[in-house]
Amino acid sequence: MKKLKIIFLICLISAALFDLLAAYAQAIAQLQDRTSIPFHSLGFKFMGLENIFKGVRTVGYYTDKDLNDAQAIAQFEQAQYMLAPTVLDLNHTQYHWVILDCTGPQAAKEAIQRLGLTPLKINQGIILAYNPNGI
Amino acid sequence: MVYFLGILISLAAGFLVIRLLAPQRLDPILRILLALALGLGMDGTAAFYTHILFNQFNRWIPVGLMVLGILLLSFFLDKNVREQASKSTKKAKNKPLKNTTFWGEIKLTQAHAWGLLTLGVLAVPLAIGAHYFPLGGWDAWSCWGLKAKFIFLGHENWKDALAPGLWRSNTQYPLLWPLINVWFWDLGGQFNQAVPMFNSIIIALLTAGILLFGLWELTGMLFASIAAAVIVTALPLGVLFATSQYSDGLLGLYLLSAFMSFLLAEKYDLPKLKILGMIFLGLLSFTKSEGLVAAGIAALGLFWHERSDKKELKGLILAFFIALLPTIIFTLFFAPKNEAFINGLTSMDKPATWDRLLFILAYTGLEFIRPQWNFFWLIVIGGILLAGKKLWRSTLGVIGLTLILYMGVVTAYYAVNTFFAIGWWLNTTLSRILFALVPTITLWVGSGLRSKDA
Repeated sequence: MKKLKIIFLICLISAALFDLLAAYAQAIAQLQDRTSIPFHSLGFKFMGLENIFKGVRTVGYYTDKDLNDAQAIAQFEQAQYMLAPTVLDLNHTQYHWVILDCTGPQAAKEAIQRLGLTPLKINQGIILAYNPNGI
Repeated sequence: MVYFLGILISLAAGFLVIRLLAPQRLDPILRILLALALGLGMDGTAAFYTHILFNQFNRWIPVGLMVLGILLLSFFLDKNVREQASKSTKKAKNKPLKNTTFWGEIKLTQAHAWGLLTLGVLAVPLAIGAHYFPLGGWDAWSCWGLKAKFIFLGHENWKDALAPGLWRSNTQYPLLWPLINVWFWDLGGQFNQAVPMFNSIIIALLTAGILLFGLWELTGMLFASIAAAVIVTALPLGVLFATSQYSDGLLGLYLLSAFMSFLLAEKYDLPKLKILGMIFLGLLSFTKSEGLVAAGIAALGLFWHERSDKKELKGLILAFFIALLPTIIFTLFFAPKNEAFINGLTSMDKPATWDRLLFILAYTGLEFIRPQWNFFWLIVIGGILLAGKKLWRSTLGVIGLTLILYMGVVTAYYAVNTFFAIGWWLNTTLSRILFALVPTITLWVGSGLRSKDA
């Protein structure tokens, strides 16, 4: 039994060293990684809107993207994080302010016309629009 | 700079509570680590009572509450120490007891230096990982950080965070982790993304430190304890989740701290440390819904274990319910219903099936052999076989049963709640659930290997 415990102890220390080396290797790889910029975030394209939404509790967020797609839902959720405490009401456009995140310029143009919105700003494909009949 | 002031305030508050509960022998570094873990929980609790319950959004109120607590605790501790000193002087002149000073006995050894060096070495990959993901993982910005921002910036309108439209952010989840970060923002006077990033590193290091110094106290095996702490923290999944700014790290810390307090209380015959254990369980319940389940199972097991001493049991139940109060209040009066729940036992559209259960069991089995765990489960199995029956006696038995019952409840929930496609759900959450259990499993097996009676 004592021998088994010694073998166990050796395995334990070996595993610890292995994990530690792996963690440092990963850390070095992260430091050297210049392709995926560490501070990149899908939500950064919404920055600045929080100044417009000061005191506004809810705005609409319209998208024609497939919300089963991880990228589309991640973009919505990062936008929500960036603009909190304003609630982004997904695919509801009855508010004064509506953010549009469409698959392309043509789809955005059609949505703006259909919903009766006035586009005010555009940044990296994200459109801020005003709804004159909004609540 | 202000952040470190927050850490000092948290540490002071936690330290004073622990000094009052355990004036006798306890390793000084372990005492500091447990104190900070407790202090962070106290920050979150102070923010809960002020911001959430009493709707007070002046940032100085939760900060002032902590400072007031420190003053009151200092007064009581000073009084306590004076009484003890006077007793010890009567008993033995010129030979005062070692615990009759305000700070208690502080004696550092070479072993402490090894332990602290280990924590320093572990801090490097954690800091780099945290810097690499400054916003944390998906659930950090879609759930935990989001709620913190709503509470801190939304003030009276913070309840907008619980709107049904935000169901993806698990609106029913308890708020301890967001509230800890809110308390630090209160102190600093502004929202700062670095706070959850630093706090997540601190929580990972506290978990490693409490495991390391606690196992060393319990087993006397320094290098094995260091190895255990390194394995838990440096696992590829460990670094990833520790820097993801999720509440799972906090869950893991409080579950570990609760059982550590009980094992130390048993070893040094310090019954008041069990009260500390119960406070940690109360805090655990406010971390996540899973934390509430784990806290409930652990508390019931420990109450049953302590049932022979009725007076002590009353104290434990009282301590647990006082610490549980924020969870009870939040669950009863604030938490909306879980929008991501379909009862598969009654649903015709999405029924719970045997195939689903079998898939869960098979997936869980396969999870243990995934390369991301770096042989961790193999070591655990080896440890369990070596420790044998010792793992199922006394407090260690309660830990073992808690782990099994908790995983049983988690499995049942996966099977019954048919809202999500099970493959996707397991893929995104199971490793996280296991990650939170890893420190406690390591404590359980590690103590069992050296335990004499237990």
